[in-house]
Amino acid sequence: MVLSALLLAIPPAYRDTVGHAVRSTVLYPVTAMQHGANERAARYADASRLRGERDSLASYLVGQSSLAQENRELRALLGFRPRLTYSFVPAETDRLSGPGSNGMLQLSVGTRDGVRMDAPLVTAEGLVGKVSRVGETSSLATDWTREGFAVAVMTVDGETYGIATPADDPHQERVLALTPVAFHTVPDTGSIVVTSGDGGLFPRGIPVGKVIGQGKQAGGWQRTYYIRPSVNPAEMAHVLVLGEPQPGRSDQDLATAWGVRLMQTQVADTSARAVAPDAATPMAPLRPRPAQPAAPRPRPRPQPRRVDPTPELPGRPVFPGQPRVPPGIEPPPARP
Amino acid sequence: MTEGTRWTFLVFVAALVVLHFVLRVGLGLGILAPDLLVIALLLASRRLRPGTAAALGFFLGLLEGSVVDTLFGSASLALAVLGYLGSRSREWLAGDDPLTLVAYFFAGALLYNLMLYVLLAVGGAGGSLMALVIPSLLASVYAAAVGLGASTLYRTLA
Repeated sequence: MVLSALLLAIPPAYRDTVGHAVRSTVLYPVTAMQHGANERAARYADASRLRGERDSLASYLVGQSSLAQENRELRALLGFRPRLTYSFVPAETDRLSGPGSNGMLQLSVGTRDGVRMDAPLVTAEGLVGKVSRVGETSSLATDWTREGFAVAVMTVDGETYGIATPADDPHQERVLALTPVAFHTVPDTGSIVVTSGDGGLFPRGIPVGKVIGQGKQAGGWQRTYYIRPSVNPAEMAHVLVLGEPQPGRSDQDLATAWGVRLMQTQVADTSARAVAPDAATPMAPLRPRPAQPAAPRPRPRPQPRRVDPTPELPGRPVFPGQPRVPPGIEPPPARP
Repeated sequence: MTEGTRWTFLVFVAALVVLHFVLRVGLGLGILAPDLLVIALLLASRRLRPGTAAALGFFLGLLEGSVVDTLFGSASLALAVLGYLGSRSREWLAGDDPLTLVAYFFAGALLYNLMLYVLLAVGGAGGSLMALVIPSLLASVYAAAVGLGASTLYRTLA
């Protein structure tokens, strides 16, 4: 019993070591069987759905290839740096069962595959959760249903900001509660809610869900609204773990990956700001400024970006076990 | 549960433990599969000394905590206490009749779930009281029924 109490008290890093040692020795046959079962389940997933997704992706790629090239050329003309995109790691999940395991998912990827602590989990529908503990070959994640989960969100029009936390609505359905919302702010029912990027944990623009109605009063001059999340807990069998931002060829906002059009555009392009403080005078830091300051020119009103509603998953997929080639280095040619 | 040799009983308990992990983890059945770990410990602790039963509970809890990360440490402590109490229960709970066994398994499984809940609550992951009561009662009834079936099977085979 003293040993048990010690096990409870040891730091998480040592827990992982002990757990990994047990899993890779005594319980190795069972974990191997579990991996096999997961792979079989993934192999026999709904083929028609996969075929539909593949066809949509193919048609999207054909339609967008010229636009992407055009955007790259225009950005190069304006002196903008290539925008950072997010890499992602595909993972299969296994829901943990037992007391205290509500909302916990075991992921089939770990640090070896590039997964980092607190990395967001997404699907084609939107936000799932975040990585809560990272092992070498597997990780643990919490989804949005687990108590203690919180994400900074906003409506797509940028009018309503708040923190979404898990809650039960009056029908005892598990939803997210958006709070605190200022009393004068009334988001429409059905409004799409996306991550706001506040706090830096979740990138801006990942769809979270839709507003389904007003909840109980938060007290004072604040309101609470219920959000029905885009991703149902039953649809979390396959997820994507977002990696670190890296230079890529996509120049789209993360929100556009889900076909969401943010009406409240970002104030300035940070990548462009580093090169040219004023987008109308590209390459400005590279040239000597004239002695006479130029007259201020009227700035055009910012127009919302045109976004194709077809979903796209940005970034470069990284598959477990595949060697990772750093950006800028060409992989060796395949031998015949 | 006094029939059979020592080795037969040992193999039977080990089979229950292996079956627990195969069903719950290997085949991914989760809580759909009965908690054979508790049943194995409760059966074994009736034949072991309190210290040995607690050590067995610790080992089984370590295995359980390795595959269910949230239970790491908690399962070891709860199963060690359960093994100790199961061994001491021989002093006041005698008999091998089905009713006694069902009550023994039910009380043991319920106590295990209660201890887990308290330990997880101390760690800040307990959840609501309703999340304890109904699933724990169902799991305990399930464990009692399967435990009775397992002990009957052992008597038939031994």
